[in-house]
Amino acid sequence: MLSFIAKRLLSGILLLIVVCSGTFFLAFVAIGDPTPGLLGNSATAAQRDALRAKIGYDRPVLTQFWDWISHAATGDFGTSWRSFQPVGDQLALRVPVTLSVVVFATLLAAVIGVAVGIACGLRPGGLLDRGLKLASVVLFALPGFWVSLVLVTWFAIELRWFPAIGYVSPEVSVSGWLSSITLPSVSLALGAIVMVGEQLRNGFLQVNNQDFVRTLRARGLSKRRVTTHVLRNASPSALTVLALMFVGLLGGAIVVEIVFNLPGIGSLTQSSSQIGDIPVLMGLTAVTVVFVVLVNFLLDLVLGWVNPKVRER
Amino acid sequence: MTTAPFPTTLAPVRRISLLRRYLRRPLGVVALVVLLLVVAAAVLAPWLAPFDPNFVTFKIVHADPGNGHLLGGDSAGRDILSRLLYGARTTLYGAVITCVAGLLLGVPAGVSAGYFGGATDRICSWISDALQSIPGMIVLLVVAAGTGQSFPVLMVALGVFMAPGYYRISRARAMAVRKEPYIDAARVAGVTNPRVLRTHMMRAVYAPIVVQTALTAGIAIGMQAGLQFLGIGSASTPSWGQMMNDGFNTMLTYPKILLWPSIALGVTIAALAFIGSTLADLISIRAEQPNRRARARVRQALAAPAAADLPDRETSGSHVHAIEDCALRVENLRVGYATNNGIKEVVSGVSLDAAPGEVLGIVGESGSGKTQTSFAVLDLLPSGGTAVADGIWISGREVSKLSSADRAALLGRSIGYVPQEPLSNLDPCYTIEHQLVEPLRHVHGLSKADARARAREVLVRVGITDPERVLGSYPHQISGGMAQRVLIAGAVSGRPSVLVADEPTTALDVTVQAEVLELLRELQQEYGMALVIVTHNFGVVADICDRVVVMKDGRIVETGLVEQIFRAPAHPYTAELISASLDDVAGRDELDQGWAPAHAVAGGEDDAR
Amino acid sequence: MTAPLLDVQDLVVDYRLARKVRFRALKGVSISVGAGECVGLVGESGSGKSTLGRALLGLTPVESGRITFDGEDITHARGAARRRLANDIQVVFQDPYGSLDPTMTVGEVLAEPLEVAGTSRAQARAVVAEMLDRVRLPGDSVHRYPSEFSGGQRQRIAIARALVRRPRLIVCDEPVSALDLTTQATILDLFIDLQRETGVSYLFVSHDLGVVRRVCHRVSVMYHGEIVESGPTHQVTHEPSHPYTRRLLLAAPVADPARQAERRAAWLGLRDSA
Repeated sequence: MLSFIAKRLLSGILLLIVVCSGTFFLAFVAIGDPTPGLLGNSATAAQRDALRAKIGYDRPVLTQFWDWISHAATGDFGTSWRSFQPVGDQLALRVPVTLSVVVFATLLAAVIGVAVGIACGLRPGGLLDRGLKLASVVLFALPGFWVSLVLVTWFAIELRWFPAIGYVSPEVSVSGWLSSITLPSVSLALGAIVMVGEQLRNGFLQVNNQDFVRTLRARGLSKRRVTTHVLRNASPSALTVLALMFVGLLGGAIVVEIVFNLPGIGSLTQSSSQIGDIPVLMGLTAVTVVFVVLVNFLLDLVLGWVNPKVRER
Repeated sequence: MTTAPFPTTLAPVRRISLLRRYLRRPLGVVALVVLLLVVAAAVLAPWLAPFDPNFVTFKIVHADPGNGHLLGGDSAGRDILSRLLYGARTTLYGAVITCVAGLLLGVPAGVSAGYFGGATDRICSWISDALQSIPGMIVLLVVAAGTGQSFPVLMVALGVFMAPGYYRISRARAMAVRKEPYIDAARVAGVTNPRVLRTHMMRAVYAPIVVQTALTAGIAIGMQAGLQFLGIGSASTPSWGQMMNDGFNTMLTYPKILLWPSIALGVTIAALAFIGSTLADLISIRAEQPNRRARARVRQALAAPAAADLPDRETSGSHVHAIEDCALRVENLRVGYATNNGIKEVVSGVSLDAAPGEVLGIVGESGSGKTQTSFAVLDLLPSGGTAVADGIWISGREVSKLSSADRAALLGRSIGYVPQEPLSNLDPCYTIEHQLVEPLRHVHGLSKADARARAREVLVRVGITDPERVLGSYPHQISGGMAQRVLIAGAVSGRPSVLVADEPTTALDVTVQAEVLELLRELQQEYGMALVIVTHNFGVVADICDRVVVMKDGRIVETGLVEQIFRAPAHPYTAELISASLDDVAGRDELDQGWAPAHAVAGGEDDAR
Repeated sequence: MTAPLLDVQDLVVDYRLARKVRFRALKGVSISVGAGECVGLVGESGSGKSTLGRALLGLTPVESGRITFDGEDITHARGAARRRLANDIQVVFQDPYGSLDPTMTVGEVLAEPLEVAGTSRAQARAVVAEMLDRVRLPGDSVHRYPSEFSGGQRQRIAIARALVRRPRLIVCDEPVSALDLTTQATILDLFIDLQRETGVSYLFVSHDLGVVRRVCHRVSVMYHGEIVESGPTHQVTHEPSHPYTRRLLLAAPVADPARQAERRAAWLGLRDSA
């Protein structure tokens, strides 16, 4: 078990390094000289040279990369090329907002998705099951920002149940915080709920058709006890989808935040990519991938706990 | 030995093409029509659009529909309908690029990874996992910023993020197919690896890839619109996402501007999603479940005294014991399944009985209905199966009219079950101890310590020498023979009066078979159970059974004492089955003695080489 | 006696279970098959009998030892050399459902080995028709899909596929064990008839001594990766010399209650004395 944990952890760190380097070089190749973006087209050649020297862009790419990654390893993401503020400070301000929305959405997906999945798995072909199927078809494909536009018009503008835009920090008011992230989270979560529900429902039925379930029933176990067995066997696929959803939701949040005008990483990503502020972009990448790696690591632990065969690999 | 008649022609079969089956689904047809309309709008946009999509008329800024502008004007004074039509062009063009890029990257990699396994698989899977861990939106924004917002490049980049979806599906399919003997057979036949990949593997992944493409196109269109909504893309190319952004900015004052592109986007994505789900249904990715009404229909048809599609209404088989002497008695049992072509009856009016201490064999070939009969007795038919009977008596009690909950209460107490496949009948996620102790505690009401002691005791009784190790093991850690002993232990630990064993030795090695039969015989005598053994093997029947029923096509053709059935089978089918066993047939040397004199040189006459 | 068609000497095959764990599936096995001969290989699951067949076919790498076919060393034949062997060595697998590509028509299945050998289409069609006739299937089967045939019919198709290249040796890996008893008998007779008609040799892998007795001239008994007994089929099945063979013989129940009772008593005696 210990070597299993160590292996997964190592694989996660490797992933983090590879993704960060990949993004770093992609950004360098794709953006090229950042000074026109940072200074605007009216800047003179001298101004540009000065900025290049200031941000160290005149050094070889590999030197810059080493510089970045050796500092990032200690938690120092450098300073923005635009505002010259530490990237870490900006992230500390923005990441909690995005994380609130995404974690809340993932929780919604987990709780509601699992409930719906079990209900449909127990009564396949029933009304709820057919409803889930219909919903899963549509909501799976519809982008979160589209759903959020619909939700904003409906609940915020027509019914005025929730604020249409803006973010309230939980330090200011917990209820304000909750109501400010509810709509964005729900619009992100809808697709994930049906995905998790559908996955669990299918897994449930698949396991239900397996021989050992018949044998468990033949021993006289109650329906509830048999369901526990089925659920444990069906959970790995649903958990995997949930972890994948988390990554998808992080990406989706970037657009949804703009609809709801939330001060998360969405607008920061948008603006810094447009002007070519590579340190900020790298900071964003590193932080999101760290969360992805953590979630995947958690997933591996849970899967190993659920299914003894996984542990021995 | 008799030679089976060889037909010179085959009976005609009706094959229905996937397209025809698709066109029978109303929802699928509607979705397909919608998609085709969108495609037509995109292709014909230059002819359909009443105005240049970028032509600005100040008069129609924020205009309501009318005056030749069917959908009104946007915030810059451009005709919304024309922009929608041209926007469809952009949308579909981008979706095609994305899907093609995803396909070209994901499918070959997935098929190769699944087929070759090993290092190829590890590397490709790691890359795929890495791609799925990358916050794609950030990278896409970087790419968009860097490439001067080149639309095709951006769509290819989006395709890269779609590739893992294709990769996973084709890898999973390829891995499943790789294990099929037909791939090995192709390699032995001299087919090269590239050719195996191109033909067999591609054919195997084709259908799921089509489904995946419909879904991917939907997601790609959504993400594309999201990017455009963020302001990516050239201002002079009309796109739905851009139009939504425009509408979003004036949402409070002029909501209709947002409405039209939202509808277009929603409807197109929904159409693709429904096409994908209909296709997935057709190639049965999502298992359809028969609903309660279908089951009721089967029940009714089975119980009906005469039905047009089920002509055979007499019962078969007989009873030899008085009802009160029976551990098990079945009268006129029918089992049916609802299928697309009506009701399929797999057991047609079977009657049999068994007394305590008696071993009854149910013999037949595949499809004879022997297993279905045993499941019906246990009330453990697979979903979709329905049984009706004039009566089923278990330990003297009529149970066929009981509710399913009351039937379930008999399981483990009055009637036990030993399955065929030992390993697939243990829950892989729990230890053996948990699986043996759980019923003892919660069905038989033993305390935790008592249940554990009893489980250990039964394990020793079924011949397991190190019960402590087995109790602590997971199913994948023990052998097949051991697992079958555990299952027998589980079945008899509740001291049932009837034990139903469904081909209990078929999946086991010959030497283990003999052990398990011996164990069943001992337990049956020790506990005085009625043992019902379902088997296709007349050797097993001769070994353990007192009486036997022979089944064919859902009916009993013969019932009798074992000695009598073997000595003088009354039905020709029984005789055929017994003679098919290879115990006493002439061996190869005897066969060749009769043949060789007539053909002096073996293999001489066919020298085509 | 001339050199045998197939000669296997001291074959060792390992399976890698994990990075450092190896399982020795074959521990130095020697066996030979003459032209026109059928040699049986009997054993229980895990005895290594299927592994031997797979090693001959090049589907499993060989650790050490030597496989000679018609005087040529094919132990490590790979790539083009292995594909050339497709002319001489073919296979029939156990599973009549998995051994045919469900997406191909029977005609395509049977023509594939010929196509890769460069046979012209017209000639391939003629050979396919001939082979279908040989395995007693109607000629219009070529347009059908495997799912439209019964288990026994599919096994006939698999046999026809093994025959189209007119090989000299067919490895039969449990070819009848998935079939119903009555079908088993007719397929076994088909194997015998085809051997008489074409002179092909069989290496017949089975767990069932009854099956082996029916079709094989000689038989080898495998146990834990080793051959414990070899000899003419009649001798091995009637006067087995190795205790394992005796146990194996007595363990299989016979369809005769009186004789089975005797055998069971003998088996119990053997078990309790062990």
